[in-house]
Amino acid sequence: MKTLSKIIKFFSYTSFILLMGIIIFIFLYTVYRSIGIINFEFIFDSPRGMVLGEEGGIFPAIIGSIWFSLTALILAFVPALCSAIYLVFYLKNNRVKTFINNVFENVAAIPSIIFGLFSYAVFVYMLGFGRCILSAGVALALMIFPFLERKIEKSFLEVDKNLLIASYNLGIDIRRTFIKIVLPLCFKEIISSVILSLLFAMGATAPILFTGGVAFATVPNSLLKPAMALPLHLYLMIAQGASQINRAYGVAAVSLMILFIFSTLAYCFSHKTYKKV
Amino acid sequence: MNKTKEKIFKYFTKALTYIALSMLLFVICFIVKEALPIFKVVSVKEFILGTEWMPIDFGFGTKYGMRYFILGTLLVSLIAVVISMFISIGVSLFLAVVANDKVRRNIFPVIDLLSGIPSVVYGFIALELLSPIFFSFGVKTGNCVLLAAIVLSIMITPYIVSSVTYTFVNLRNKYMISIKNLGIDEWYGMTTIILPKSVKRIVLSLILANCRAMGETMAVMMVMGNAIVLPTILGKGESIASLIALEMGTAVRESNHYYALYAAGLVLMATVLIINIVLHKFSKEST
Repeated sequence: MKTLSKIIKFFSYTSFILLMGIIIFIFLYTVYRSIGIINFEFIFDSPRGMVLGEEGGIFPAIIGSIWFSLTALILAFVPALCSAIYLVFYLKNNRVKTFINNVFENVAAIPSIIFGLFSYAVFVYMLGFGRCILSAGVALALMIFPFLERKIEKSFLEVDKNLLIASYNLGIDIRRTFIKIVLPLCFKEIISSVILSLLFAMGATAPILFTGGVAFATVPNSLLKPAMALPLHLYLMIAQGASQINRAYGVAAVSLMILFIFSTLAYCFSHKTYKKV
Repeated sequence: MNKTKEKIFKYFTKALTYIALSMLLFVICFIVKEALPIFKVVSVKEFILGTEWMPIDFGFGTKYGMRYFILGTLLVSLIAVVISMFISIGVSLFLAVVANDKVRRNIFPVIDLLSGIPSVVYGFIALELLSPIFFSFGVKTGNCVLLAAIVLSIMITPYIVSSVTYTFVNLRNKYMISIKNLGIDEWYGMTTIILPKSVKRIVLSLILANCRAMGETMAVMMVMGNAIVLPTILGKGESIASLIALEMGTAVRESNHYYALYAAGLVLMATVLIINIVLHKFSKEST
């Protein structure tokens, strides 16, 4: 009995330290290797060089990533919010509710590249948009929609039922109950889910690979143009065998920093709500 | 006035819900539709079990056999899940026993950082740091299925940890008072009472994580070697998702190659969906 607990205890501590170590290592090592690379020029210049990215900077890729993920968010947010409202507050038929919930749940498991395939056939070719931010944005939107909807729905479900019942009994309709009671309570949680889904879209490469991401483009000014994206730029640098490996670390470090800053932000928002309730 | 607004609000949300729902169902149907033409050229059985993949005719005819890709996908995701299982259970035990609620609340966002790291970054770091290690042990070019599986296992760990910890904490709250009152050591009680009780839940979350691992594209593609051979642990292999990502750019639209890639996507999607649907049924019955 003593030995078993000791072994398990040791095993548990080791795996925890290992996991934390991996996380810290990935972040610190990437940042460490990119010291001296990330400067004003790197962030705000266009990529140049024999293998693109060996010289110059990554500005179009940063802006491109923001365009991709914002497009996806704009396309996915309103439907996700409305679906969550409808499913939680309006839909009474349990069968239909279970069906819709099941569809969302299962679609969330579909690999992201499938959405890329879909958008490639429908938006790039059938509707004739070509490879552009919009086509890629649709693929990303389909990918983040279930994620966002689940999170928003979950925050609605956590609202105290008695508040809702009291409000309904006072003769206040669902719309005003939602705006006056539910929305203020869930607002921070929704913002946090929005940030997390933005990050999710920003890190995805597979869906934009053949729908709108390209090796080189200038800073985009229209939804109907292709654009660069940070992870895609990193991938192409490696795939083409860039010799300046530190610059690749620089690209990776920038994406990790964006991730870290926005995750912290999302955490602050959701943390405060958690404390209040 | 308020009644009209309420009605508009209701029908607006309803309309958007159904639009979103039909869009998602449309995606599934559309992939099926784009995949079907290839089955006029090859039979389903040949497509899934065939070993040769020759999408472009160089004078020897074309062959569309997915077997090695399917095996590669299964092999890499299974190894990843097995590796991740050990780490995840260890971490979950730690979080359930050592950490209190407050610590858990602060640790989870840190672990979730792992699921936010772009997969290309994982692939890049693995290529840079782990691949040379494998190379020095005699693996050609250093890229192999095991390396891809190690990378994948880190990527899926957050998902397993969050659901397993949840189960552990619930069971712990339920049983720990009795365990302590009986004078049983906390860790011993955890392993002999709570761990066996949560096996079902753990298996469920492992299978779900396996689904995620199967669909992962970029990291796997960068470190798995991408050779169409029978995948072995220390040899090269290629997953279905990598196949699509690598060849879609060169496939001529509405050629058999193009349809075959959609069919590959269909195989991947169908596998994941079937596993998920079965699991959801199963998990509902068990609770």
